[in-house]
Amino acid sequence: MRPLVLDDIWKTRGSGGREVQVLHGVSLAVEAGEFVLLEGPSGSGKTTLLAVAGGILTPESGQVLLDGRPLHGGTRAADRSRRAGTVGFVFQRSNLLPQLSVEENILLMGRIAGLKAAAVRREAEELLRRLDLYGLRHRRPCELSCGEEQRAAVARALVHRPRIVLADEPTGNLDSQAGQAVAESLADIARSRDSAVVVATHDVRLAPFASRRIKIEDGRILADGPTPLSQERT
Amino acid sequence: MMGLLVRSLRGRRIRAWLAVAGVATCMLLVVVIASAYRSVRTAMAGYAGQAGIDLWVAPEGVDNMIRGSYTGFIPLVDLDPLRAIPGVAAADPILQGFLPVQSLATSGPPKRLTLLTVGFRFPDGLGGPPSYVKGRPPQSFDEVVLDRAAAYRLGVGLGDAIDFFECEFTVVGLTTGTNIMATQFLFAEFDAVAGAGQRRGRASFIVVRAAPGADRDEIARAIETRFPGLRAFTREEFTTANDREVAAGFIPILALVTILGLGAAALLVGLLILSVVDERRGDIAVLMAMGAGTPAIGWGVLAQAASLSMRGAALGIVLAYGLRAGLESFMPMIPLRISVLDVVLIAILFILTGAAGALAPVVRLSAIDPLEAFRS
Repeated sequence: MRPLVLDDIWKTRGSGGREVQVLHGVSLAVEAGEFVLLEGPSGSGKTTLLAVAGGILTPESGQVLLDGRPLHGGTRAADRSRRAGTVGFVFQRSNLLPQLSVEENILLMGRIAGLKAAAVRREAEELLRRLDLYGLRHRRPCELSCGEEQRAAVARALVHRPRIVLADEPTGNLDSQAGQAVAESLADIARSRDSAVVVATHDVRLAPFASRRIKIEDGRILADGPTPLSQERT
Repeated sequence: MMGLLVRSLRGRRIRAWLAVAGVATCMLLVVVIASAYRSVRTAMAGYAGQAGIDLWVAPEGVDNMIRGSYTGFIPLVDLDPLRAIPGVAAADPILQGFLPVQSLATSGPPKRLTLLTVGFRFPDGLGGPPSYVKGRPPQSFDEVVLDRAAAYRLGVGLGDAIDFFECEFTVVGLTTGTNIMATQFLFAEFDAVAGAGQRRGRASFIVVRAAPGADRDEIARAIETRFPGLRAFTREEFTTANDREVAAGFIPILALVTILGLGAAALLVGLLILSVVDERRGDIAVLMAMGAGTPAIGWGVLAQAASLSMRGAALGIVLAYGLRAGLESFMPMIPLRISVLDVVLIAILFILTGAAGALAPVVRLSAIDPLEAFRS
């Protein structure tokens, strides 16, 4: 089952006389384990597409299928709960909650996704070790470097083993070394867990990690093709 | 999850503590007024309800000690016929009034107070002081006993002299539970008070002890039949009437202070929660994007408000007990009788009001778009 299918998505943003058609009949399907780069200039509709794919925005028309089931259409609570259990988000800034420690940020996501406390603890510990954050787990976000913060955000996005991870410019605020580390972690862990990853980015340094690149402009997909990982990385 | 959610939405610590301190102060105000009210009630009930007195006989139109100071007297000629009523074991007159008293200090200017002076028959007449904290009952015409707060205010102790209506008296005992805030009790010999207040041959009340096995109600009816201008109350009726009179003076102030205190507490908590909702907008959007529902976040915010109110209420209780201990040692003229039931009820009111104060900010949560998580 494909983790994510967008079928003829139309979406308008703004209100009154300032409405803008942001997405024009966008369709795409993402396979399990894929690492998809969504590339395009500012205002091309990347973030809106991620928000629609993640169920944060509802399209005017078209359908979003997560694991073959429509994301919208149930009760608000049911849709939200399904989204929490199926989707993981990584934002441009880590957006870790400043009052919680690194570990607590990760645990909270797991609990929101409906996992049992013991299971979340197990997952969190594994991720913290894989992301080299275990020694920092009791620190607050303000006590971390930008790269560490973003790696913690990756752990948070993956703790509930989502079918799809949506990342909006996850390396936008990082230097090349930290950006490389974050992208590598995201790609490796997602692949090992069979999660699909869609990354909206301007950062060409991420290309080597992508198995597929989609070009979007003015809310329309201009190009969509595979980028063999082995070729790009060498 | 709720624990983490609540912690993730915590406001700035300094602001939270300021809000807690504000709630505690409001709570303290209400507890102090309630305790003062409770203290006055207890003092009145302690005297009016003292053991040994079964009936209070008062002039028509008087059913409590406060009104008794101003309205009507009982001629003492009624005393012997009243004692002769079947079932009456003892009956003694009491004369009460607000009399100016001054200390006769050896140095410094004399201090003056107006005290609720109670004249009763020495040495074993009914209606004397209910309890002593120091000293002994008066044994002669020129000895008095007064409330310890009055003694503090007058600057006198055991063996010191005081004066009222140009007669000198020696303080031989100090009482407790006889402080009614605005004034305190002074106990003196009946005739001394009668002479000082120029009320010879009259009494404010006659207090009656029933013979063992006698029916109090029957005695009361007999007294009212024999003396049409008098009313007889059982001890409980008289205590209730005193309670009502005290409440009439206190309850409006207590209600006003409670409403103002609760309002201030609700505003403080509401303001803090509003600042949390506004300042933490980005974090709330992230929580929403992660899949936390508005109701869960709303409950988290309300739980925080309730926690602030609870901490404020707890601090208010601690402060109230601390204040009582301090007042007892350094300012005994302000008596605080803290009732656990009052404190629990007030605390519950404050916690509920604090949570209610957070409702308006919680409504604003619905205006937060989870998409803001992508922009923050």
